[in-house]
Amino acid sequence: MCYYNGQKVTRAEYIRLKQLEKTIANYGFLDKQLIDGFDYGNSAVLKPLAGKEDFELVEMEWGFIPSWLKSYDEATHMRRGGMNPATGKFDTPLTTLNAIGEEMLEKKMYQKSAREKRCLVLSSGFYEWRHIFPLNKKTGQPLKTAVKYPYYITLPEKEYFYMAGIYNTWTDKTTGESLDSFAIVTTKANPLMEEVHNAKKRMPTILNEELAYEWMFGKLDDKRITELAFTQYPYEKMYAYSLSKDFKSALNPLERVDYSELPPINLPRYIEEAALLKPNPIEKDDLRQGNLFG
Amino acid sequence: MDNQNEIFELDYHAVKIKVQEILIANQTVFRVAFSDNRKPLALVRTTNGTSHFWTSVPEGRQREAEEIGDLVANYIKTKQ
Repeated sequence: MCYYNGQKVTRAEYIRLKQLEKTIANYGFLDKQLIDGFDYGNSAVLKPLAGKEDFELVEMEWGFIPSWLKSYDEATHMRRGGMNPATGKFDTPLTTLNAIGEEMLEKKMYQKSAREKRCLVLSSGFYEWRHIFPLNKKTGQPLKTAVKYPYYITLPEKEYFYMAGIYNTWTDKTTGESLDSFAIVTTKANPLMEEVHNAKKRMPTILNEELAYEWMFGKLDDKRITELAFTQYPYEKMYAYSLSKDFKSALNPLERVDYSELPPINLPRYIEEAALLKPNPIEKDDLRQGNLFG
Repeated sequence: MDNQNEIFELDYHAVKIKVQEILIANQTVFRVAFSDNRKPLALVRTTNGTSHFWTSVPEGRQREAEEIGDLVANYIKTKQ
């Protein structure tokens, strides 16, 4: 139980009221339908305030920048890869959009943030690709190259939900400027995400209000951090539908597009419930923050 | 703002107030403007798990929130 305005409220209410407080103050801030992780743009993040059970609603750059990088140019080089003039060798790109929950505490890059700088990433839905291997018309065998179908995944009962994140306050040593950047924590796919994100079988760690509160404010040991990072949101409470293959440039990227060749998602309980959980029609000025994963 | 409804007037301790129901991020908030020099107030319904009550957002104006919240609730009930 927490106190808001001197009155007892539930933890879920506390976090809702605090979020509403920030939304009122920052209205217009979340007016983005599609955030492409590979643009390394800003996303709305709940960042805890030191020593308080309170948070700021801030914009952070998606794509974790580790402390040891000296300049933004180095961060860009890490993300894009390319010839390294210092070594004369080609560096492969390193994507830090997501931190694998199972490995987070073992990785030097993420370890300190997982223990000390946990945040919540606000989302109204996210995008993933489903890989389907068409059959060869002559042999009947699956082709080697998959056709990729984009999907939008939402929680129909929630306008917004929370993804576990970790952030780092990084200082550019060439300019002295500070920048907060973050990675979204990922976990093993639940049955729905196994069907949708069938190439990698991963999903973001989505936390309900109670767990979100604990993730952000709790004094957690490594065991509990790992337990929360492994959280699999129940697939029965999620909904996924296919989008246009060029949804990124579409006027309404969330418009549903069905494909006759696309097999239905093979989850009986999910299919029954999906008929009742149709996504809300999207208004042009609807406030949404969708996260596009790599 | 997501949605803006009609504005209605109420009397609060002999002060005229204008109230507007607004939907922000799918949550209903009542914006209250005072005819004296007080700052506008945002009211929401919340719960302690067993009962519901009014509160101000941000914190700091609980008494006004409860009193005006009751006036707003009465107005809505009467209107229906």
